[in-house]
Amino acid sequence: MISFSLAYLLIPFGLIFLLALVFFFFNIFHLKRYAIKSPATTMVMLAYTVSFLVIVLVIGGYIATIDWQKRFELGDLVPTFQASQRL
Amino acid sequence: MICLDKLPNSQPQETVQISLRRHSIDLFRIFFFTVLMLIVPVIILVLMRLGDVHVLNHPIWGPASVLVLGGYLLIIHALTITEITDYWLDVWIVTNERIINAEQHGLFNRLVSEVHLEQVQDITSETKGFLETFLTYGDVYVQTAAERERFRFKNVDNPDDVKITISQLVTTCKNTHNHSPRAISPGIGAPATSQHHDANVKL
Repeated sequence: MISFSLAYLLIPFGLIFLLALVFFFFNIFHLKRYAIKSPATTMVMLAYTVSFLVIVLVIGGYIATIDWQKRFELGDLVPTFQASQRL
Repeated sequence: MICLDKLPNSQPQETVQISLRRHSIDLFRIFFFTVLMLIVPVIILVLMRLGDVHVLNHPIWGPASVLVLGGYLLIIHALTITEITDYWLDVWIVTNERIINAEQHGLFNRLVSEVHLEQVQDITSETKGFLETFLTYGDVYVQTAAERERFRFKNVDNPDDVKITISQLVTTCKNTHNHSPRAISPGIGAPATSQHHDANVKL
């Protein structure tokens, strides 16, 4: 049976992360370039940055706890989520 | 950033009279849909737990679920900040000389136009619907002499007051330019509009 590394799952996530990063920088750029200069605009930019960092740190914290070197086979994907499967 | 004290192509005596954004109900709508989208995975997880399905403990679907949830959060974040930026960059600035209309449509479509107050022919305010009437917000349309689309101030607070203020500014501007086209008096527009100005300024 062919086995796959769990790390492959990180590829689509990485793409989504890159997309979110691009959106984050584009939004900051637009505010920096076109918004009216005011403390409120600075607060909005700060809120964008803090919220993005919080999400990235929380997800990163979870991802760091998982052993991505582990391999799995296609047969392992059969969903058996009942209580007996709890680790 | 755009500085209200130094607008692009501003004239020496030009001062900002009103700076408008869309009503904060639009911002509330964005946050409401964000919260709704955030609740969806929580509901799914609760339902799974109630059904004795422990996907997070599965050796493969567990990590996959964490990544899906993480990606979902990142997508929600990207959509929300894009919507907020769209809201934040829709600005209508009325000075004692001109009206500047700046609208952002998504991330890559921005429209900035301006019209001199002398060119304004007709101003209309429109409040329709229960929520707009209850929260006193609506649209203001500014029709110019030029053959072009009229300006639309979308979902601004107190549209009737905005209309009155702009009408007064237009009248003052037209009178001033008819009597002395070159010289602009220092206090132009200010005495006639000060009450409305205070009520409508949203920076």
